[in-house]
Amino acid sequence: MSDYLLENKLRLENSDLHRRTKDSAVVLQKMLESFLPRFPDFTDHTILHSMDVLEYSNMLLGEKQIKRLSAAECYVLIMSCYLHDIGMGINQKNYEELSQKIDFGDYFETHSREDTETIIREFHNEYSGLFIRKYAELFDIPCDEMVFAIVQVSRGHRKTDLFDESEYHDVMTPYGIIRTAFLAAIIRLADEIDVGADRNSELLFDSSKARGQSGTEAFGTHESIRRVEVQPDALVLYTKPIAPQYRELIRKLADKIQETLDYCREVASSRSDFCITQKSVQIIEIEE
Amino acid sequence: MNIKKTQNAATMIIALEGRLDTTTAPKLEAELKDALDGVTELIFDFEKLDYISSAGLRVLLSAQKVMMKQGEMKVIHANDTIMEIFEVTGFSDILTIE
Repeated sequence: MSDYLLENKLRLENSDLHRRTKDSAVVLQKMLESFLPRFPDFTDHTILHSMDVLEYSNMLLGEKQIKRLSAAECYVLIMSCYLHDIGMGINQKNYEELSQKIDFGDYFETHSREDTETIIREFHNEYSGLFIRKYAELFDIPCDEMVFAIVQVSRGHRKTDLFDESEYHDVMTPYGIIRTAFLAAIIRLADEIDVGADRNSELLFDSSKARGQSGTEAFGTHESIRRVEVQPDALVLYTKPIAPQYRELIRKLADKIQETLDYCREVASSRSDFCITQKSVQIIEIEE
Repeated sequence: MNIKKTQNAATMIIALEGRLDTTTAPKLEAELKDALDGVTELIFDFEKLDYISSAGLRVLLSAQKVMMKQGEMKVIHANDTIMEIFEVTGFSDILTIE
């Protein structure tokens, strides 16, 4: 059982840091709900999803590796699980301010500047990082090194280059070492596998509420994946397609998870002395 | 952080000075424990409060939970920084702020 291992280790090793995570969670519960008015038909980015990502992180790490983490790493990973999607819930004022600091590359050559929903969704990891930096004091993050680590790990839940040693390097803090590349790999994979219908309210994955074909397909795919199991050597999707065409969509999603798994395994093994033991993504169709 | 607590009949005013954060929030929590019996109006005066973090917000939330059963609670004189925190966290929708 890997339930609450990170949380318990932090509580036992540093009760002050543990209390800071609990206080932040209370406030974040309200904050993460603020994405709902802007994205009423989008998949879950509330505290429920944050808790799922934390639980999957526990599972992916496993007891032996969690014992080797520093208190600082437990704190950073827990906080990053809570905060990684906070960029989805920013208000208009922060959207305008933080957008000035994001390198959008050539994104606006093919996308409208008016479509703020899509911009936020596409770059929400960057908005999350900037938001955490701006409001580090609000979350009582105890030192600058930890702010940096939480920013990097939260940003790293998607898109960023975890092999980039200038961005993802080990950080020393008064609370121990933080191996940012490995932690970001864990959160990226944990976020990717939170696709099971058992973990999310029907309201948030109700395909009848989705708009457009891609939205309907995404919601239907989530509804078809009944649960995800983290086994020692594999990630298993237990599925019951709601319609035959979803078999192909589930297959595509499984391929995408496999890509992320391969990438994160490589990051873990080459950037740290930790590992991700799971090697493959399997699909098992079930009768319920 | 300094806490100044005054009570007039069933109205309690708590004036805070300094920062309400992870270091100081336990002190306020301890002050509030058992102090709200019989109070029907609780006022937090933030005129001299510089900053509030999530630890402080949690204490406010706990106090409001108690006061919702027995009366009302409000926050007065919050500065611009704290008002921004209330807005960005969504606490401006939960708290009565004047």
